[in-house]
Amino acid sequence: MDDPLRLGTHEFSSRFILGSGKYSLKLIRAAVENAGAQMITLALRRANPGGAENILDYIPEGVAILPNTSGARNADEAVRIARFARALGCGDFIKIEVIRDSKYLLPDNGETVKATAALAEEGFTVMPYMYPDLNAARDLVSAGAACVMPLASPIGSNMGLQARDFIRILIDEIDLPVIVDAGIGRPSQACEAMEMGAAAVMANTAIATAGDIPAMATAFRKAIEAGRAAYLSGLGRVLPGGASASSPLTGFLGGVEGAEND
Amino acid sequence: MTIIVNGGRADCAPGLSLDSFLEGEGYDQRVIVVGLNGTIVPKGSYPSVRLDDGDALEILNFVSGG
Repeated sequence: MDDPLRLGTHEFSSRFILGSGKYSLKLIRAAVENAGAQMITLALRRANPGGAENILDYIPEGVAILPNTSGARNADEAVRIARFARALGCGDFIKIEVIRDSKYLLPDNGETVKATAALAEEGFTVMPYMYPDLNAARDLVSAGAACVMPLASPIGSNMGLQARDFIRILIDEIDLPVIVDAGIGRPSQACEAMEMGAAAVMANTAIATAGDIPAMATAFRKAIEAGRAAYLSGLGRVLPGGASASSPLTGFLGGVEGAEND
Repeated sequence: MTIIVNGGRADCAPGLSLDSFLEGEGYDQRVIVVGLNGTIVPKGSYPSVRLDDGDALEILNFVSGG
């Protein structure tokens, strides 16, 4: 792998983490395959007797499961959910979500730090969803997180990189993968996040609410790959005010009217 | 006797094993995790766990989510 995404002791060639919410199980396989995703999020909920369909049957082999702690309102609940999730035997990843605010669904950074510390201590590969605050991100690093996952805008809003400038600060200052999560609504926004130096992008609602879910998964894959390539290439400089000719300014054809001005 | 299953009351024969209870209710044991009175029950020990009156079970599985 030339450019792996490293999360704890794990490595991925894909930088697209796919959410599985809000669309049919039957589309999950196609979405994962088109996304080229090697990691997909799931939630943990009370089971129904009588055997509803098992979502794990729809996830291609080799794709890592990233359980989330959705529903947790504090660190203790997140830790409890994480332990139950790990007992299902699908690995040690956990995406911490601690949310007390029911209108904007904003994560509680303080409780998230506490849960991260507890779960990292128990050997989880902890991927905390967070509000993009530098102090909290530093605390998450100290607590043993494998990455930080700042929101771009509120969950499910498709509002894009509203928190752009603050995510950029995290990318500049945090020595862990910064994975942009929540609110990314279009491939162009995912691409921009990757151009900025985000290590990966997670998306769910943008795919789930698209007209053609598998095709949108493909579009996101391409955008994320393009953004990563652009970041690694080093973006060209910006020249505010004025211009810089791209064509040579010598050797113009003789007698072509106006050529000197092109 | 009565036990609590995912927050609701359920009838259960005294001394029934967890394994038998789950099978009788139609849970797919491959895909669930069970908490008994707040403690996670290791999968291999379902047959040896006996249910008592008032026990509280949490039976969870993965669902789609972001």
